[in-house]
Amino acid sequence: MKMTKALVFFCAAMLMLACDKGDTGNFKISLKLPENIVGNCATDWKYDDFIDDFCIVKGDTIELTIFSTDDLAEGYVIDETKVFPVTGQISGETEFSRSLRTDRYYKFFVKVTNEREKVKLTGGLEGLFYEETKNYDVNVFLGLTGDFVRLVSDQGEKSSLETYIPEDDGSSGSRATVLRDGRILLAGGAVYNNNGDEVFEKTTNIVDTAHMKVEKGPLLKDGVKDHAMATLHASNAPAGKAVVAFGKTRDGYNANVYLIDPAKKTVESKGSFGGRAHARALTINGEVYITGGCDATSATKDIIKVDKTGVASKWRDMTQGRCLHGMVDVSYTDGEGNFRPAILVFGGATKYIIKNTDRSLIGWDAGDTFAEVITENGSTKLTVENAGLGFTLAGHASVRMKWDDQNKGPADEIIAMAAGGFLQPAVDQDITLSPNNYIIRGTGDLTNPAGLTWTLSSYGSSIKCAYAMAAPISSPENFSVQYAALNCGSGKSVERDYDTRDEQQIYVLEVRASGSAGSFSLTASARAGLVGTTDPNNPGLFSDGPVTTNDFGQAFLFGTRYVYVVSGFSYGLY
Amino acid sequence: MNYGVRIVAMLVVLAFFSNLCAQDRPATPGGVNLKVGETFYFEGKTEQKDDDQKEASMAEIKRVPFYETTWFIAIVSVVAIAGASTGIYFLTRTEPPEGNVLVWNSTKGK
Repeated sequence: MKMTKALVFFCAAMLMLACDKGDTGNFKISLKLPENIVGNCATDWKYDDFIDDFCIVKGDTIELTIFSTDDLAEGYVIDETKVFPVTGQISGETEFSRSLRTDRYYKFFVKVTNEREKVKLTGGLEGLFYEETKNYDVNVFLGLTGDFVRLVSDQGEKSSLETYIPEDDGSSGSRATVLRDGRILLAGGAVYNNNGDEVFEKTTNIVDTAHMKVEKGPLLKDGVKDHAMATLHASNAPAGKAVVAFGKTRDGYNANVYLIDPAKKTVESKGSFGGRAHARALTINGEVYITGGCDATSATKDIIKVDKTGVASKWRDMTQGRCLHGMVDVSYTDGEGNFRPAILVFGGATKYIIKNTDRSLIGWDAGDTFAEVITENGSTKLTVENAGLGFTLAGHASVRMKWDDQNKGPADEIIAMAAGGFLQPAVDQDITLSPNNYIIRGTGDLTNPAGLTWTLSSYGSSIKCAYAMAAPISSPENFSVQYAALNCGSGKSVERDYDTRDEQQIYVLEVRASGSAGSFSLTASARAGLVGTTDPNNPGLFSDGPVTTNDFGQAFLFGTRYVYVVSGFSYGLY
Repeated sequence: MNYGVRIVAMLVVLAFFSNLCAQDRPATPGGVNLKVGETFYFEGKTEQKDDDQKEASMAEIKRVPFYETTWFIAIVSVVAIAGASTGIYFLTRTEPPEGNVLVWNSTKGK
């Protein structure tokens, strides 16, 4: 009997041990590598420089930075940074933290440097709500810093994540935005197929890099292209919501502002303001501001604001009705610590352009306002040196560059870079593609953006991009160069159709500061033409597409079937 | 599984098996006779009865507690062996780090 008892107790203990394997609170992060263009990290190790770029190998260092917050509205704080030397040849596993705190939002940033301390791979994960009663198995996709790669769920199998956009049919006018939980919402657009039709998309996709999948989002009410899109930090919606506003439809122009809830997969109309397309949108202090837009005959001066409760209303008027313009956040905090929204807009057109002969770019009429700053007090027309009567620019990408160190760059100035787009050489001449990059620079008291001294500088460029889109990528800290990723539209023509579609071109824009505090000179350029039919990473054919950046300054570019990533150098934008 | 739940589960399991063992204890020493009605019957010394009475008595004699039945012992054995095997497997295997881990693998190429 004693033997029986002992056996029973032993078996019971073993059962409990087995049950104990159901522990919760475990958090596994798998680092996902980009598609390897050269071969096998294992067998080709150190055979080629590309191995060093695309693989994690012995001698590398993995740095993991952990951020958390119990309220997304208050922002993240850094919990800790861990450094793990890579001692194995090609794989490894290590504990990164003894414990995480339950019921908090976490984000993780991973940086891989080689033995020469070059930052070669970065990636991150954000907006993840941790509960100790669950287990987590998530991915961090590591993209190449300052270079583009295709998003693949498995490096070896080259299993690319695919969206609803066809690879080669000449898509245009889709838009994308990164949600607060790190997922990316891609919506709308149109496709020119080879029988001459243009098909407008109602489809949306949600790209989830943490789980390496693309899932269908809610259908839009109308198929739409050239719409405006941005993420709203909506109250009681931790993942945020996406504002999709206006845009060209098959039969005209969408007048509505929609709010997409990615969690509930719903699309809700928040009001109608008149049909328009090519408006621009930005998230400013968690709220979405939409400027301008145009139809076939005119452009609007409206600025629509969507507040955190989801209410859309007219906020202010611009001085100039415009579309296809540049829009940059120049908000500031006043002397009493209050946040003050402010927007710089520049360039654009006064109607919806479809061909070179649409001579309607802002700049040739004496009454035109090329640039203006809009604050709560209204619009102020800017006098921009070198951008007087006859200066035009539309369809360009615009992005604000910021320096974190005033000894390395003009941290106390407003610097906006513009790339791509169109020019109108004379009032009676057709539109041509711009051969230049531009910097618009505001100096003075940043708490009075309308009162700054503004200058424009142009820099010759080897690239031409119609309907360009750009977003900043993170730069190394205390660095004199700031970067952005450019999704260059077809460089063939203002017209968009099946025959003018072209290879997707991805560039890294850079603004380089030289000099010393108070007297920096700047140069702007597009680095490395990232395109080519012999490249296994070669993107497909399209007309144009969007780019959006996550909190880590990692840019995601769309427009063909696949998702492309340009990674930044550090864990955040300044 | 948190510790509270584990302790309660352990107590339940132990109570269950302890109860089984307690039921297994014989009621009286000797263990060779069974009482039916007011008469003790001893193996090999049963009185002659008519066939119906004899069959009923034998049925009563053969009725055994469920924990002594073959099917019950078989099920408990299977469960016990499975549990023991699983426990030994987890106890003896070389485990990767538990908890919060970071993993990478560059071994797969094209």
